[in-house]
Amino acid sequence: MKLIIRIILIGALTYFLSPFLHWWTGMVVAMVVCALSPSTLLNAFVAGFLGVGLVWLGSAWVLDVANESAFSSVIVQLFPIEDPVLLVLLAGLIGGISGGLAGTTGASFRHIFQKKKQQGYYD
Amino acid sequence: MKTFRFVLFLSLTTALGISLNTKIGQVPPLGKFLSPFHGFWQNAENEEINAPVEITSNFLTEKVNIHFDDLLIPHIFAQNEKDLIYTQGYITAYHRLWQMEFQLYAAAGRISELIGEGALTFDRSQRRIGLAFGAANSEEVFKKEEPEIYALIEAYTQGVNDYIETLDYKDLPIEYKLLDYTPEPWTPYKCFLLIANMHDMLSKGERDLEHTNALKLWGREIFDMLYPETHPAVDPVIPPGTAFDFEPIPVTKPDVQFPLSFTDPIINPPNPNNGSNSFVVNGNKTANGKVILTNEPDLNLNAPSIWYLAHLSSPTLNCMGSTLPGAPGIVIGFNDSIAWGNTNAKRDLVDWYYIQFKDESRDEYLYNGKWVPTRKVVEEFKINGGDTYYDTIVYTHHGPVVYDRNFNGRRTEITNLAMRWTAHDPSKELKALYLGNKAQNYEEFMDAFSNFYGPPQNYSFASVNGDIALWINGKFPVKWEEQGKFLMDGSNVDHEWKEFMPMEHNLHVRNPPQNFLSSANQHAADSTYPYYQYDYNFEYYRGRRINDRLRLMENIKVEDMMKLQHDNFNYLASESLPMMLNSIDSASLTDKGFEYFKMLREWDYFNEPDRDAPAVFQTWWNNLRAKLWDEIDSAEVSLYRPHNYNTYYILKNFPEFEMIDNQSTSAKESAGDLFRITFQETIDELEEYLEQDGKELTWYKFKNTTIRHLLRLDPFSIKNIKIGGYSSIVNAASGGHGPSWRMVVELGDGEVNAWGIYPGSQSANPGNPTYGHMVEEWATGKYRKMLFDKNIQNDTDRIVYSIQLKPDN
Repeated sequence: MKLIIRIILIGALTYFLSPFLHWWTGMVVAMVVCALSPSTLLNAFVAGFLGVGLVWLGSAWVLDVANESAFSSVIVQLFPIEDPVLLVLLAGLIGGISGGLAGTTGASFRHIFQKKKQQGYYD
Repeated sequence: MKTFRFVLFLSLTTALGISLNTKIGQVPPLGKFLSPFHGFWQNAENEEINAPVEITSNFLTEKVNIHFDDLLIPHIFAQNEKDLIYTQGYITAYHRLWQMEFQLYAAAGRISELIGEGALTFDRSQRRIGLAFGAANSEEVFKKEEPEIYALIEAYTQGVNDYIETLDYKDLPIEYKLLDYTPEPWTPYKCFLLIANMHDMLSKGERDLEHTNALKLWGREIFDMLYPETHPAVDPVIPPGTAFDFEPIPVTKPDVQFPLSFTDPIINPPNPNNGSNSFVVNGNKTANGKVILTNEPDLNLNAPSIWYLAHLSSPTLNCMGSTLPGAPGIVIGFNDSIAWGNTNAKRDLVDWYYIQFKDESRDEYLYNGKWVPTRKVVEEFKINGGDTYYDTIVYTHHGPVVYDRNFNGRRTEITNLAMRWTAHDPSKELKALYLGNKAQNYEEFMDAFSNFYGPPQNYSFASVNGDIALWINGKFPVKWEEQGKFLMDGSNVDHEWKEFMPMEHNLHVRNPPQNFLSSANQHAADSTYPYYQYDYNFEYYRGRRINDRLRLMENIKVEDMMKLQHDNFNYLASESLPMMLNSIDSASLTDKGFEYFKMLREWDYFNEPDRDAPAVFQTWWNNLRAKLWDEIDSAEVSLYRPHNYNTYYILKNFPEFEMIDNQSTSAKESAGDLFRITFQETIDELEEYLEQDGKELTWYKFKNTTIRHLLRLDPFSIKNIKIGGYSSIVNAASGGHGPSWRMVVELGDGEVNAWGIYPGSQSANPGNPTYGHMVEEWATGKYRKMLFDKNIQNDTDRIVYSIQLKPDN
């Protein structure tokens, strides 16, 4: 549940802030969100990966559909791949990896200040 | 441990971020480039125009309305000229910003800043020939002497810069994203640099150093045989019989010895096919009694197109036509009263001077028996991904010493050669265009373009009151015979240019009895013209074809003029092919050989796009030239092949000329042997060619006319365009070169009607749905009527978008 909330939070912030800021906005978002809420490194990676990656994938896909892939099928010829859909996937992957790694970094930052989890009194 | 882990992840994340933000080799920065919010996705346009309908500007004094028609030509309506030209800058940048800037990176020798080490030699030669030096000289004089027009250039600059201000990374043209850089502010200087760039394309061509080598190698007789200055067949720009009613400035050839030192030119010559056609007929020739003017500049076919169309209107100016992105005003076009076009007036305007330095320091050089100080400029090249490179350029009073110990060909002996070129002198072409845009009659036209120093142009003119005229405008040195045809002695005063022809001595003709005028880069006038005129590269075919046709044509309609612009008659083939075929004994041919022979024999010499014969002839002709001039190609010094017409002339009239003989065989070959050998070679070559996948001889596929993107990116280029013609044919579309803007204007009865088309689109964005949309119509001979109406906003059929620019108050 927490993971889903975190994904949504990272995704929403990435989506709304990116148009006004740099392309690496998603990385900063993922890092900050994961530094402010407790999680394991793997959990943070997944949150960053999906949060940023899905927004990049989805946004690229929406733009490409609206453009009927007219321009992506031109640009794809500059790359050693053939199908413009792969450019949409590549955008998602790059957003995902950069978000995931940034999320992991955020979580690992938080871990520095986290005492080893002690058995709580009430559980 | 945890701290270490954090540092590790942080480093990894940072490293990833940096590498996705960095261009690596040819690969653009992937993070930036693929981000849906910033990258190339943002360059995909779903509408023809994506601009706010209202834009405020604190430069403007009044509102400006811009209506884009269905070709996306902006019709700009302003209340004063400053607002008008400001808006021209703004809108041109909207469509063409990257091209405007990139072409000047090339002119200024700064391409290595963008693409790295590979462009350094090109950049160094651009700096050494002094395009920037000439532009700075012009700006300095212009600013002082023409403050009012300079203020318009500043307005244009402000318009470009205000547009640049609106751009975020996501809005940048795709080429900036691919090469990963951002636009610099525009400056008035860049407008002057653009004119210098035109010089580079049009007035730099010469073969002085090759001539020097040829003369030293072969002696006078063979030299004159290979490179004659003219031929009886020439049909000059100025109709023979035109009176030259002026007293020429006297010049006498001094007793000179040219320094005959072998030298290798390494400066790239401009494309020798650069040229144009323009022809104009008066009311006696046309069906409806109006005059018709046409023009089409033949240049490299690039994407974005070299031209951008615009209609500029204010209470004091109403003009439409093609503009050069980066320069204010209309370059080729028409207004309410007149129309004008231009073709390159080729002339040898670059001369080379041999320089003797006093010593290694190169602080002084010999001139007129004295040691004279030099001036040195250190040029800096900020190579992308490499160390900054410095190059010292020495200037003499002749001009920059282009060739020296740091910049020389393959010879071991170092020669210091200074370049004298009219493009280095201050000039006022932008004034000529400004006044020309407003000219209302012959006198005003003449007055305006007398300011056009270069690159010299044959300006054709037509007016609504029925006048036709032609002026060859430019700044021409008064030369003695053969002055500057060879390397000259920089220490000898007699070798220098002393004076320039006064503007009123420039060749011109108005309302000639033949009722038409034309120019196609051929010789300017016949031998009665009292000034020495020379160029190595005058055109021999297009002009003759146009004049042949115009002499015969009567009751001409606009469509006939369009048809003549698309004329595919191969004059070269019509003269050479019968001679070549006559030497072939058809009985001795194989079946295959006879097929080719028959195809050529039956051909009517028209290079129509879907015929095979033009491909066969062209291949044969190329093989013939290669075989004939192999001694020139393989010589140890730089030489060049005689032009096509002279090749034909020698083969026809001197079949036993010594160079026709192939040195590697013991037999003595004559022209006939050469035709037979190369015909067989051609058949073998073409048969082999046809065995490859998808290859055919269909002319348009064979020549593959391509509109190439300036970065040579295939996906942004348009290939295999179905168009006929070739270089030296009126429809001059060859592989990557051809008619870059076709215009036909009809004037009379107080009306001006114009049609035009060019191979490209107003939008330079490969992601715009209109990208390249005029190419097909251009290729198939269609034209679009130019909207030239003051009440244009009511034409809802053709106006697709309107923008208003408003003052900021």
